[in-house]
Amino acid sequence: MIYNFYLFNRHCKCIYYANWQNDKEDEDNALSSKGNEMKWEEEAKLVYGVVYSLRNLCRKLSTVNGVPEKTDKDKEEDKENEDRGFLSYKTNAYKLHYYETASGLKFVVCTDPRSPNLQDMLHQIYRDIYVEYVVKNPLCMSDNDYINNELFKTKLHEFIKSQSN
Amino acid sequence: MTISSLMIINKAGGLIYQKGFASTPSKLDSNEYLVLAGTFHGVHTISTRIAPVPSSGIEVIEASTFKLHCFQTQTGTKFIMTTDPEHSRVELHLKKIYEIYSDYVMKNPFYTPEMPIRCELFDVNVLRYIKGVNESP
Repeated sequence: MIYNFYLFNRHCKCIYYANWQNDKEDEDNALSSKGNEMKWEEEAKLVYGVVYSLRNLCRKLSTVNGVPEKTDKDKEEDKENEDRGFLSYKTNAYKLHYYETASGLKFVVCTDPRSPNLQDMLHQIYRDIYVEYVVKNPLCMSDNDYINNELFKTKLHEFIKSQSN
Repeated sequence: MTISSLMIINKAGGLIYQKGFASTPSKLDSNEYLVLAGTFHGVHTISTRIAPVPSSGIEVIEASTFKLHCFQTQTGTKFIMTTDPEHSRVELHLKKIYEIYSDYVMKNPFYTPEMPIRCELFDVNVLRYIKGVNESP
């Protein structure tokens, strides 16, 4: 079960958001929990803050756990690997998966807590959907705008649906 | 199966205990640990706000080189443990540490609640327990 999806660009901006929760249920709950409801823009900022902090935290802690003395060559390899430090976190009700590309795009997905590691799935979204339908689209001039590309939307939704089943 | 470090954070987000158990010396100084503890405390709270369904705070963080487990008590104290990525049943160990904490810190008449833990008996017993876990196959 996949709850929602966030895509952040390298300027910390949320450029795509999608939600697959049951809308009907939300409407029923909306009245009772209106005080707690947040706009998705606000929520996206919090999500970015969380993954950014956790990424730094994991980076700091992993130097503690690993071998402290490193050669220059190791350091270079580390630079490539370090962005892959933080993979996911889990609470009793959901799991948040994180994937960062070399160009600084950040993919975040919330699922139920029993789901396995989704790094490959997020990489697949980047490779087969984002690159194909956003990067290769000549009409997408700026990388700083919200993605309003219908083809991207439908392909992403199809892909997530196929993964959820 | 190795537990590499243990941290205890009080309900206000302050670090009150930190110990590393790996043979390699830690590269972070105490100030950095304080910052990390504060960051984790904040992120733990935010994680309940951004939850798509009603949820508790962070329980496990997975990174490529290690895993971080957090156990929050009813009173808001957080016990945090970092282990290697394959480690299982860490919750049990965290609860055991909580037991040791109750026995040797909370029952110590000279300990001021919410302040850094300086209790020799606690140190000794934690070390003995973690050593036992790390050496078991």
